[in-house]
Amino acid sequence: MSSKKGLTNSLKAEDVVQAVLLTDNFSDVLAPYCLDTPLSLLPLVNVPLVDYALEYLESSGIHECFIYLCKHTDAVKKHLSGTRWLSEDSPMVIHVQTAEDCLSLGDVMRDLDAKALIQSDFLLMSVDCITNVDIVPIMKEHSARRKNDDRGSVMTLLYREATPGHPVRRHSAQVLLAADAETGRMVFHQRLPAAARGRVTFPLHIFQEQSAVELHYDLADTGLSICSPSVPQLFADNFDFQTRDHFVRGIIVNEEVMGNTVYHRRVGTHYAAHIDSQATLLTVTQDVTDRWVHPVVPENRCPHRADLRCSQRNVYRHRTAKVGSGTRLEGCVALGAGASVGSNCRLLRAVVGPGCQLGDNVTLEDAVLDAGCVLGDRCEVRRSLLGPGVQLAAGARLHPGCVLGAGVRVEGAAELPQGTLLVGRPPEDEFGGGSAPEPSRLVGAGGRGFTFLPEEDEEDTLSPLRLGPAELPTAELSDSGESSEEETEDESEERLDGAESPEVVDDTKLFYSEVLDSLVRGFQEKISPENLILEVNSSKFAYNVTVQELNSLVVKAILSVPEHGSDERLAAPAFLARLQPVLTTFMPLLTNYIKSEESELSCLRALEEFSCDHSAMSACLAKVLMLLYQRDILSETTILSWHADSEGLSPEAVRVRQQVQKLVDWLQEAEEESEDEESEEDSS
Amino acid sequence: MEPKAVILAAGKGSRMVDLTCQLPKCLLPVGGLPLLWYPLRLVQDAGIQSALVVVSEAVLRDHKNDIAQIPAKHGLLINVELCAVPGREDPGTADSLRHLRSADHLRPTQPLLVLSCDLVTGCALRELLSAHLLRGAALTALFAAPGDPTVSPAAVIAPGPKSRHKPERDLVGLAGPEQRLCLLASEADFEEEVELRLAVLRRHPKLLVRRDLLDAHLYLLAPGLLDFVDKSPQLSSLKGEVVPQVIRAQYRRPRVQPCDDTAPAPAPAPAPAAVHSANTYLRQPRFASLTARFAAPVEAEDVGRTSCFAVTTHALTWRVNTTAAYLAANRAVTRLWETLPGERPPRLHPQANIPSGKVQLSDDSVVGEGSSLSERSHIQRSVVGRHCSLGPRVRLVDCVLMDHVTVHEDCVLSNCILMNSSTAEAGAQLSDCLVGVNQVVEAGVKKNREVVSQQSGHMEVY
Repeated sequence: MSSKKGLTNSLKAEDVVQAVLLTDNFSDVLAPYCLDTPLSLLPLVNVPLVDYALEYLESSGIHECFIYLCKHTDAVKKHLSGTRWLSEDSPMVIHVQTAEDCLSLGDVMRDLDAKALIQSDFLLMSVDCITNVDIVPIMKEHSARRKNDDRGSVMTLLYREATPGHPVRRHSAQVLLAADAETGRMVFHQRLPAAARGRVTFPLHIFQEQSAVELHYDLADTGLSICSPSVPQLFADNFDFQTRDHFVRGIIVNEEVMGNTVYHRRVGTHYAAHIDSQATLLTVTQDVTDRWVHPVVPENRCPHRADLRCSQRNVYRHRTAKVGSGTRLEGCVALGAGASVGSNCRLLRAVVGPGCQLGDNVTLEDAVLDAGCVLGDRCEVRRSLLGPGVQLAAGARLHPGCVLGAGVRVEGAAELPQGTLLVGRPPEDEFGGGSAPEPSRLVGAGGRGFTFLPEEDEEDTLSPLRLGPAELPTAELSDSGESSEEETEDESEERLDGAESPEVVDDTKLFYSEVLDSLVRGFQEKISPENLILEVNSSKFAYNVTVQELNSLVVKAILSVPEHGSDERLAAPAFLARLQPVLTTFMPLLTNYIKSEESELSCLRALEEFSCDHSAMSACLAKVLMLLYQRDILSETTILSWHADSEGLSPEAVRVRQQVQKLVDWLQEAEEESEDEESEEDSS
Repeated sequence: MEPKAVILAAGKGSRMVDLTCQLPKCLLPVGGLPLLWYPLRLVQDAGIQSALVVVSEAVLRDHKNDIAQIPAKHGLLINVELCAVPGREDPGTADSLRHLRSADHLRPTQPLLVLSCDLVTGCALRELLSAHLLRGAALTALFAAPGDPTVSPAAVIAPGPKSRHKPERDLVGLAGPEQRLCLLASEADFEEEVELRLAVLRRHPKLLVRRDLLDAHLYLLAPGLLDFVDKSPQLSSLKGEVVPQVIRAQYRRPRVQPCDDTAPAPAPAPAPAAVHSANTYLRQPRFASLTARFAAPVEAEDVGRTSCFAVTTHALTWRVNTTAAYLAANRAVTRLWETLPGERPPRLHPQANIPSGKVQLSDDSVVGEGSSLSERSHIQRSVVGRHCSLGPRVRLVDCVLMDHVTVHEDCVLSNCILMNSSTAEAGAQLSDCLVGVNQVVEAGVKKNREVVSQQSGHMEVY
């Protein structure tokens, strides 16, 4: 390559190992946890991410590093100036590049190209990547391939092996790629949403061009890639490349035209993780405290190593942290400088930031507390993230999956349900004006906190991988996630009926059969109704049925359960005898779905439709309606208005309505007694 | 438990009509032995004592004895049962199995080894059988890895006019060290996109899709699958329809509760509306409790579902279903013989008349019983059948001479097939030609890429 930098260092240009460190992820996947904190200063086990990255780059033998600051540049610069990285005797030369106009990876690359800073293959790293990969040999591998085998090789993407459902990828965009089995050259790359179901399609030609293609769904992105010096220029030539995914896709698709290729490589036994969701942040936090990332462990990252005492069960206590008597640090606990924990607390897998004050009898499980949090007595926090300065009054309980942004204050013994997202300042109204949003009711009187609504991304097509921050998982949710995965194993499977082709089977039918399967199984195996609701909901999303369809299909499915699997029709008394326990079991389901008047109506119509071609059901419809009425699922007004609406009915439907005449009469009487009105309906 | 071997020979050989319109496919000689000899020998070497050979009614009528006598004539011990599929002209492979089932030739409790009569392979099946049993597999299929490119059909010019039709390729999806079979589809089944269920990728996140494997069309099926074929009359081809369905069933949720040993086998098709899949018909193989002790522990995901595996062989393997493959197999068949365990067919038959020292005969040529060669002839990579007579100064390169062929002096033949009782008169020069049964090539004629056949006129009429 030609040395653009000048003749002075042309000799050593080949040997200088360069890296580009991005301090931004150009997205808000970590909001609201770090809505205002710069990504590079986000603490991971009480150490800012940028320190991990720089320490890693230096220790792995990088000579020259370009740090790109795009947002919050002053704060990051201030942090850096206080560290040893910028001092003269640092073995790694650091160039801080301020580029506040860069809004994407593509912009950064174009800036690199314009400034002609790159002379050789370089490592592209995002600051949210935590790793201990020995990178220089991999870079040599890349250079050797570029020199010997494939001159067009422009990028090697690093991936970590992680089977589907692995915590490090469960809530992130899934990577699906296909590569030539011999060389590792990528021939296909796709991102799938975390809960992707159904089918994927590959172009046929990728299988025809090489004798064997390896499909990889076992990889998690690491945020590390090794780029050839031509990469910045390619970004400059293709101004529509915004992200690395655009670049990879562009290279793969236009491979014949440009002769450029992309390779993938697995990091093997090393650790690498890319923090691309709040769930991953928790996972990586635990991996670091669990010492999976050695030598990246908390005591090595502390500016003053002697300050942190590491003891059994991976407990890291800062010298100045105070722990009250009777408090159990059960394992994987990190206490920051000046943190104080009251007595009789229980901490398991928790990070307590510097200056946090915990009262007595506090329980923390899988919790991360940023600096300066104040928790009153008897607080309980499970699998949640608390931003800097969050205050919880005594007795507050956070259920799994809560994220509280900086400055949230919860007053009173509030209980925050699963998946609560709160921010400390009112969300900005893009259009200005309007009424100031109300603080969330959850924080109690005098509290501060506003419900965080993830912005709808207009550029969804550009980044289909964006995940709502609500993805923070809970143990229960992830469990049922497993079972719903199993559930959908054969969703959208062609049915083997022979003549029927898969296209003919429409989604609602598939949805119905799946719901029926879930219910039958749920009834036999006594699965809790909550889990069944989750299963049904996941099916709903898989098949994209409307809410009204869903209500009516769920009702029909419940009615089909008694006779499922048997061929002959039961007589009315036997049917009712079997239906009753089914209805009682699934009552919570009905309560969950049948809430509004509209849903009540669709429930009634479903009952009617089902009864029309089922004589036994039609005979006991009145009893079923009575039961649903008694359980407050159907209101009398809806039953009456359903019954009254008799336009254009089929003879069967008329018959069905006659069956319930008695009940309707009785209801009307009851209503007349109470309201003494609305008796114009034709009660004859 | 010894599997029941079924050799499917009812196909017409529609991809090699020039040959099969004159002789049934299973009797075409490869290295002087009828094609059917190879699968029979394969089954015999696997320790199976009898094989059921399915042929068409016409073949059974005309060639019953020829087929029945193959073991006796060519030194095999295996017991051959012959059976015809009535009715349709060219029955599908699954149709044939259904017929055998209804005609009570097959017992549903026995594993089934189904192979095609055109499989010529040096692979030993023992390994495949034990792998199948130990894994408790529903289906195990044999694939051949690409070997020496010089003996592949792609390297051979088929005699007759140029017709460059592309060889058919399969996409074979394999996962894990145990070679789980996750995908088997002909490339021609796809238009521009290959669709894959994510359930497959979730189960096998690392999946190798190979295009260079040859499906040997040898499948070992677990006992229950015969019932599945029986109850699915819409499936007509084993490879194209049944096998993909069985593979797919690996990723379907089992419809029936996994049955414990005491419960009777689930009644097939519990409800007519219910979807049935291969999983419905799975049953515990007999003596499962005995083999289970040695078997790998079954993964939880496999309970109640089929599990399919591939075995890849590197031995010489051909599917003799095209004229090019026929020639390729003949050229290198002696190399395959060398790998056979036990007795091998003689390369030069003791009763062949070969004037010693006066004939140039390459190491990979075959001369059959009662054939006579004359001095100064040159034979290279060719097969000379039984009772052939070759005149002096004959040159054969890459040729196949069937039985009772006469080649007069000074003929030069290269890459030719001379069928039974054909004659090449003195000085004929043929290359890339096929000479039909009883045909005569006149003296001094030069031919290139032609089919000399009685039927050739007819063929063009069609």
